[in-house]
Amino acid sequence: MKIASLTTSELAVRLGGEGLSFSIGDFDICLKSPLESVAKAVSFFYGDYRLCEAGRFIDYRVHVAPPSLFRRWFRPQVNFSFDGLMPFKPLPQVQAFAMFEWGLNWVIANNAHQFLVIHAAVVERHGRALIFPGSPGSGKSTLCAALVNRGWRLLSDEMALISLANGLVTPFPRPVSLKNASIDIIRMFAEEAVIGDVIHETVKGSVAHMCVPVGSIEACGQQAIPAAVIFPRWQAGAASSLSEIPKGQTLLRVAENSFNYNVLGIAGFNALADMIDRCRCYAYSYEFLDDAVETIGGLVQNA
Amino acid sequence: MRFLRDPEGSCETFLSSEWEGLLRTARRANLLSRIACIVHDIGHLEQLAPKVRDHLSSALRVTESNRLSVLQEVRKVRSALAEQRVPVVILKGAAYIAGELAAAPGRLLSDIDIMVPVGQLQVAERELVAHGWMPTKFDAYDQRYYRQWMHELPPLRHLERGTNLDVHHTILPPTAALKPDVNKLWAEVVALPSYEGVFVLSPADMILHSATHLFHDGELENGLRDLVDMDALIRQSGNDGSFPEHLVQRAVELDLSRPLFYALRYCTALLGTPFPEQASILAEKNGSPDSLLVRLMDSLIVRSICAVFINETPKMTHVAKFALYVRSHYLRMPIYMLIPHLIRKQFISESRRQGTAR
Repeated sequence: MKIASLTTSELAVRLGGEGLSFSIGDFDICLKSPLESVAKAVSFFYGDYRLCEAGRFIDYRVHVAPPSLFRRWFRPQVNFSFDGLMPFKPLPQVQAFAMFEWGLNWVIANNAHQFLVIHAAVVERHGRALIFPGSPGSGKSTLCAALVNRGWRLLSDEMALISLANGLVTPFPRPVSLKNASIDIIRMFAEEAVIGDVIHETVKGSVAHMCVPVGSIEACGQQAIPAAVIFPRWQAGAASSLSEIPKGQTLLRVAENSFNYNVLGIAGFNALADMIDRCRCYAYSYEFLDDAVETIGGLVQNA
Repeated sequence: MRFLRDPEGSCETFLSSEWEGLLRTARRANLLSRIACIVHDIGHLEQLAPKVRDHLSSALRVTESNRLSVLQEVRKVRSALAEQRVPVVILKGAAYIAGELAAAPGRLLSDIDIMVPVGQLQVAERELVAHGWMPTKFDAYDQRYYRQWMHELPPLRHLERGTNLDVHHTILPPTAALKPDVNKLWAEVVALPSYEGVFVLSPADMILHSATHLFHDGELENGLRDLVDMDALIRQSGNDGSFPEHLVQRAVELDLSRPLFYALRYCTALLGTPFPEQASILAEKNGSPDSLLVRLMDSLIVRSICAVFINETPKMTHVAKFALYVRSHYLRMPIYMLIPHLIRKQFISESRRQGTAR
């Protein structure tokens, strides 16, 4: 059963009461929130996700709620908490849904050490995953959104989960977070993209989320083989240019972009080294998304 | 709580919902890694449901990286202080880990606590700063507050590694009602064989320090974790032989009978820590306040320590019964005691929130 099969009031009752439990890839998440804005956003972005049956073991229970009664009325704020931990300072309440997304990223990065967690967007075609590690501003989410709108399957726009057990990438598809100019760029690039309300004045500037295509949600149980690591770089006036880079350098750069490389120690190094061994490694600079989609599409056909 | 009292039985009988409850409570209590280590040590990890195993193996990885980082920090502190020959005592969690004690497995910590002789405090501070540990509180009020009223320097943080270091010169603020003599602690410190010039407190003093920290230093947020530490330390030192009496005697010498009484009371009640009756009676005689205050403390302490169980199911009968028992007394608490407590609680939750915020 999908979240969309709940009526608006059923959804609100679950979110405001025991919590709404649903599956994202391997993880079963339970979200509690009394806020109407969160309920609306969940129904908009997560409608096609599977509900968990009652009594199922839930991996992470998170709570998005106003800090106090007072703060409900005066400059409303919202807090994210996870088993008594509050990793962030309260945010203005209009950012509640974004806070859920960021909070869930934090929970995975700090708790799911059965994976090497790399800060990267991941897409897949023909069972082969392309990994785009990204420092903020590199345009990984934009590129990822563009590829997803051209038929690639989304595994994640934020974190590559490399299983320590088998070295494969485990999907964790969630709404793609677009920032500032990217929002309109993707709107123009793909009319069919479903993009939610823009939230202004966040720490990351203006943010809007793009819905995950149903196909990516339904295939979220299928792992993929890492095939390439690509460092994207958007640059005004740049020609589309893909160049292979040394594996050693790639390993160091990916390690820097990993959330839990230090926690994993030797196991993390081995997982990363195995992954880099399997992958072609590239630096890619571009200006236009159409060029990027074509160049990157060519990679998998040749691979 | 049932798990801590009987891990093997729990591993065999826990249902998936009970595991979920345990993992969540453990996470709240900062005990998830501890529980992962216990399950691993009794050899039950492989038999658990894959989901539960994932959570526990993740926690084991955190434990190991935490352990390595603590040991590295201890080595760095040692080499920073070696030149000026400042002896250093490692305290609390870092001591359990560096000393490979029973309380070490799964013990996580965010700050390393050390103690140096008060006469060499300035030298130690200078050396540590020279080796990259920088003061974190710059404002004059904080600096003065620490230096004048506290038993430690303003917290230091390493520039490159980002690790926190608290440098103490005794175990309680000079303003505290209890006045343990720090020289007596130094007289019985135990050298760590693998680190020259680095010591830990004697087994009895370690328990007394943990108890003091928990019951007299206002550090209740990790209350259950601290009880689990003390439980492990008491069990390790043996509940037979002369240790229990020595512990009670040592508490008298150090003027720490009160915290020891509380520690034993709540360890035995909540965790079933074995402790011989005679020594318990003696500890009670030495350290118990009048019975009204004991009841008040029962309600406050148990409530704060068991706050981690807030979302628990009625299965936590040990706690529930005990909490109900104390609740009847709690209701009799005079208002003038309740109000400062509530204000204080408000304050603690606020400061904790600030502490975890980025």
